[in-house]
Amino acid sequence: MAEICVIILTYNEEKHIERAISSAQEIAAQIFVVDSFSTDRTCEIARAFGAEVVQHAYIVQSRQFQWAIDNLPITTEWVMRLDADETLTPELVSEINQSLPRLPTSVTGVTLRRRHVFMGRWIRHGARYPITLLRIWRRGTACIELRWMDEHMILLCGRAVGFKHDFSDHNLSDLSSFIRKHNEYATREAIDVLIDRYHLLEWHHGPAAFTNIQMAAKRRVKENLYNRLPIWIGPASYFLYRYFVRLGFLDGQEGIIYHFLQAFWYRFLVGIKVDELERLLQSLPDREARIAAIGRTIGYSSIDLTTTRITKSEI
Amino acid sequence: MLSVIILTRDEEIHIERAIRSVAPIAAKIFVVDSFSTDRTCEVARSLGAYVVQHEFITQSQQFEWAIGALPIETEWVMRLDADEILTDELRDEITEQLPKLQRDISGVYLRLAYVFMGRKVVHGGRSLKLLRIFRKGAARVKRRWMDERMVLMEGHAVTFKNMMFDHNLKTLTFFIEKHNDYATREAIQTLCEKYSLFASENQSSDEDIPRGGKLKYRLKHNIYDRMPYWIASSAFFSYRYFLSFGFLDGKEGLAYHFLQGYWYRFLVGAKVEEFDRALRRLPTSQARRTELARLSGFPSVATRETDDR
Repeated sequence: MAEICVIILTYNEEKHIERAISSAQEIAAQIFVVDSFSTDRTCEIARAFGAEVVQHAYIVQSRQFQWAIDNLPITTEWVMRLDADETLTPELVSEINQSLPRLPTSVTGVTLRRRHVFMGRWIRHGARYPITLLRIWRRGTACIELRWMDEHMILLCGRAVGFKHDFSDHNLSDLSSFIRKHNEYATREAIDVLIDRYHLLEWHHGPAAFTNIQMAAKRRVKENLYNRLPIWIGPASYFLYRYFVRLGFLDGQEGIIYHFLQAFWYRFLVGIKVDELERLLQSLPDREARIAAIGRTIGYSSIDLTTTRITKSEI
Repeated sequence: MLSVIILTRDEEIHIERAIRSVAPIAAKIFVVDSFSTDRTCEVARSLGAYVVQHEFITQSQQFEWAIGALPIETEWVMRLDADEILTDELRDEITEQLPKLQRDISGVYLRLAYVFMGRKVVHGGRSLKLLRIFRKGAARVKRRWMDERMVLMEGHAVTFKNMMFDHNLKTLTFFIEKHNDYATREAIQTLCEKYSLFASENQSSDEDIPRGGKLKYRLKHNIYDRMPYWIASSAFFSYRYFLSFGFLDGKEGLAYHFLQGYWYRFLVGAKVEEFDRALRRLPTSQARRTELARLSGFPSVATRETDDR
């Protein structure tokens, strides 16, 4: 067992949480589930499987996670972030258990390769595999980017090495739930674009420090080029690139659905939501009013700029 | 002379506009609400509508219940959605023409176009003709999971010239949510037809298709439904956007044609595929119905109460 603590953020994950915890148990000395007041059996199941469950009001993924690493009583040398719908492959489990304790002290982070499983099929093509993410770091050496979407871990000191084996992002919910989730992601991503465009929030990290070149390059393309083209060109070219140039068609039926929805529809939706929200923002007189409008869009009543804290209220 | 029926659920942002849009021509306005959690009923009552509440299963069943149960006293009945509005010209046309219709005319088709993100979408083959006014007792609703249709049981229909608009004021997020739900319903409809899960004659037939719509209907059934859905939806979008000049509707039109004419059609196909993977392995209709109910999250699929008579 490596000296590692696994943190899982949850909201209504009864379908996945047992699987995630069992997977984490293969490597972890401590498992924390940080739940944002699930209304299903998530917490109960997590406790039954031996995780330590803490509940904390959710604002956005990034703030929740930062709260977790700042406040949980973590005692291990290493910390790992795992999503509730993810699992570790057995190969990765052995690699972590064997290699992590042997890393030199100059290494403070470990990137892992993600494979995405969609409708039961591993999507190997279309530039979706492997996606390399910083998921393990020495306690205290990393923070999370404060963004509404696509937040990544950033190493504050030291360097990262990559492990060879994969973890899987394998969500078991249906297409309806995929659409619902991406509908919400699209709103958040649109908000990210507009916050940057209008410099609305101080806490928002722009394309600052990146732990890995893949992410930095992607983000730069997205922010400089993509968000300025007519709304259809980006999504259409991105889809064609993924589906044809990057051989997405080799992923079969599941690949068609995944690449169409995730590359084409989703990117298109973000584009028109930016447009929709921007119209709303332009009709407003000042920064305060714009921030309040953004808050309302996602169901938060106010965003306190001075403390950079967002207060959730039930509206 | 004319009663208007509006089905609602959480329509407080639209209901006043809808009621005011038909108030000048309606003898009575009925709002059939499926237990809104907002101020819909309150607003409707304050504007003089007759409000009843009734549990919702499908749009067609709700409307069928309405024409059977409401105390309709007028000769004509009109169906309006809460997010729709009539143009002044259409109101005038209804007022002038309806009383002059011959006895053998028992239905009126109205032309409907969409307003999306504030812009009229008039190209891309999106101005529809829908049977929306009929003589009391002369029409029935065909039970379907999606796209409920009125069918005339007697007499003929005419089409009025002027337009009405579907102008929803809610956000894109809501549009996506709604179409996500529609796609599930349409996938259920498709699979019920594929496996003959309906008890009786609810298989699609072209009996009730308006004359002008027959070609479109045949195209859909003989060509569209036989292609893999991702090809069919791509072709359908190209047809709407390029051949039917959808590109003239601007940025909003693009968003609408892409979402409603491409993504939505694609999603229906993908959900059919998703559900069918489980269904095609099952031996009996009852097993399929039970599984489809479970997968889709619509328990009433398992029972027969949603079947057409």
